[in-house]
Amino acid sequence: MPTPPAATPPETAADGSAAPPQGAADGVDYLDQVMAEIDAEVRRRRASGDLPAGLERELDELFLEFSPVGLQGRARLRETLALVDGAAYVDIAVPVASEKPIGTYVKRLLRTGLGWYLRYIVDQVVKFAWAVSRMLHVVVDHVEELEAAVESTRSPDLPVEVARTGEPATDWWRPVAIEALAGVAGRVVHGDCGDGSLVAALVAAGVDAYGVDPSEPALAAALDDGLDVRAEPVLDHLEVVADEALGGLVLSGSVQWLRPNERQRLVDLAASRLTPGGVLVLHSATPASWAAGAPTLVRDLAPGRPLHAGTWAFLLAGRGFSVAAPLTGGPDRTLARVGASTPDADTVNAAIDAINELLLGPGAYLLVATRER
Amino acid sequence: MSGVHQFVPMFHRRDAVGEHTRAVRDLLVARGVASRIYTELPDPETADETRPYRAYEADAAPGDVLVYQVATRSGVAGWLTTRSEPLVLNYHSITPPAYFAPWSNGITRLQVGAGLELADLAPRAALGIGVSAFDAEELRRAGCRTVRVIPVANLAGPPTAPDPGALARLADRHAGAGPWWLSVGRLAPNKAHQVTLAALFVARVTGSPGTRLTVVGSPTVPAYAEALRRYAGALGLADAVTFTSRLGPGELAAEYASADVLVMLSDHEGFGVPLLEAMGHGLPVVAYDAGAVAEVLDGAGVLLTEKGPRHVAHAVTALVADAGRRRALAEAGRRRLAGLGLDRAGDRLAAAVLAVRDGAPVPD
Repeated sequence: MPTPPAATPPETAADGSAAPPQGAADGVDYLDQVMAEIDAEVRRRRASGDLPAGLERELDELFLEFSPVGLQGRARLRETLALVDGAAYVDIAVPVASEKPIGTYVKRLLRTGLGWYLRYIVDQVVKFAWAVSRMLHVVVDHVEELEAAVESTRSPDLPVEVARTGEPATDWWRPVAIEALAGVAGRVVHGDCGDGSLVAALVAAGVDAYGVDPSEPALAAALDDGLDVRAEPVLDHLEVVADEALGGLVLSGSVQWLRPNERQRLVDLAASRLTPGGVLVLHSATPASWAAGAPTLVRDLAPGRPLHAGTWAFLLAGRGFSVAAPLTGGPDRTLARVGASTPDADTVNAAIDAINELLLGPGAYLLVATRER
Repeated sequence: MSGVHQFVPMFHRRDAVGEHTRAVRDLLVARGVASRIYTELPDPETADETRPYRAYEADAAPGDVLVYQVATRSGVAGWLTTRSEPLVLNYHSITPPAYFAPWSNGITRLQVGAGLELADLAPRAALGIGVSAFDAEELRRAGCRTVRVIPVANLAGPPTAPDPGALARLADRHAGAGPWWLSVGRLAPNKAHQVTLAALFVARVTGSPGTRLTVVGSPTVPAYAEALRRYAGALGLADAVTFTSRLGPGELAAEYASADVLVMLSDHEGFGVPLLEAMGHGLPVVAYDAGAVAEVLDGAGVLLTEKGPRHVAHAVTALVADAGRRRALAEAGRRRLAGLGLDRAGDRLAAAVLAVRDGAPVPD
């Protein structure tokens, strides 16, 4: 049975710091008080809809446990195939045992008499079943070869703690994000919120904000500050948020290097989870600065690459967002042009311009998109 | 004397196709048209109203039109391909076999066979009648050249009055309990009752712990029905869920009258009679947008485009808690029911079939 959110007893009860009174009547009162606090906590959690993100998957898997073997998510191809092999043979040697002696005799007579007929039919059935079984073996062989080929191209997962080092280090974009989100109707979630500093700033600005981050250690500071943050990847979180439940969404961090299919899913989820008029803020490194400045481990192991601002704008516009012109900022390593007195100044400046455009320039951008009504 | 005769694999009472077939026959007879019902297998309860389909060979008269009520595989279909009379297919949807494949080889084969039979009959049919636009489209894809959408003919008139005894029993059972969900439909995989159970679980742990559910439906696929019961048990819902079937019309009406909401999350619905029954009883509906559901509801209910248990639980709980919205939906349901034109369905069907007989253009 999937586990509903467990009631966490209040600290005073859980850590034993407040010992119960000694008297019997007092003990009963104390127990009542603790139970009332637990009940209140359960009610709060129930009311908040604070269920584990994986609950729906758990519910699906539980139902599959009661389904025929072919449906079970955990069943392996070979195990299922073994069932086919086992069922592919039809035995015509019908048991003849009987409680009555005459019964055995009659059954044996029937078996012998019908054997010629059953054998003719059964031979064809078995031939068909074994042909199907052989075909399935071939299919399974191919599937396993393909799985092995796909697996051989898979990079190790990028640890979330390492991934964080690939983010642009500046927070130039935060005031813009706060201004864009101030006054939105509904809750605002920051994906990959890290220490929760943007969540805190949003809350301070009067925005009903909370955060999610795949790294639990990264959230320690935010939790210490009493912020509403949850240890979940933003995609998992959005999967379980109701349609049009969010007023705003901030995407930063690992959103930059999602796999293409995950990126599309993220855009789809953002479009459905934001209320009409809701605001999406997306912060990303530019491809050039990421290629030049992100740690090598991030560049080598990240499943995807940052997109150009225009590409994100295209994807978002395709899902019903109105996208403002991107703002740029962050580490700027633009090379200055040389003076006219420098020998071959025009040639050198042309080369500098090309280098600036391809590799340097502003290191990050910010997109503000509004879900059209 | 020529006539319009119907063919149906089996002719049952209290069965959607059976009651529709009876209504069509009665309408035709009332118009002075000879009309008999032929079946593949007799049902003892209705045997005096039917004849074996092979007997038609002796009964046939020049000018006859044959109407086949298509819902499942039947020996009647193959026989009909040998007949020269004009053929009308009245299509009640064939559930795609893929839904049954993991659960029942037998039913899967039946559905595969039904699809093949439809593909064989459709190009020969002078007219195809789908009970919904969704079904009509399936008829066109199968090869029917002339297709019309006419709802089933037996749902006109006021809803059945609840049985007072059943109503009292349900009132006792519901007394002091929380919101009561109702789900009506065969226990078959395409009905996706497991999602309703999962949503009930979520609703109960997120703020509505007293919520209960009654599932009304015969266990068409026993393995699936058993899985549902075990699933409910594993979720700790054994006391919160009631599975029931074989209800009489008054008892079913009492279920509609006593519940707070109808939850219908089918993956495939050719029409969705429970939607109409709920509307008739003023029961608000939360349904998943599949097959003909959106077409039948037409805004008179909460239509879900996603059916994760959280979404369903949230949608149902929010609706149950909002008395004003429930009243508005109940009113919208009644208006929609009136707008469906069920009272004219029988006349339209009779007119369409008679046009085929007379070689006239089939009215829209």
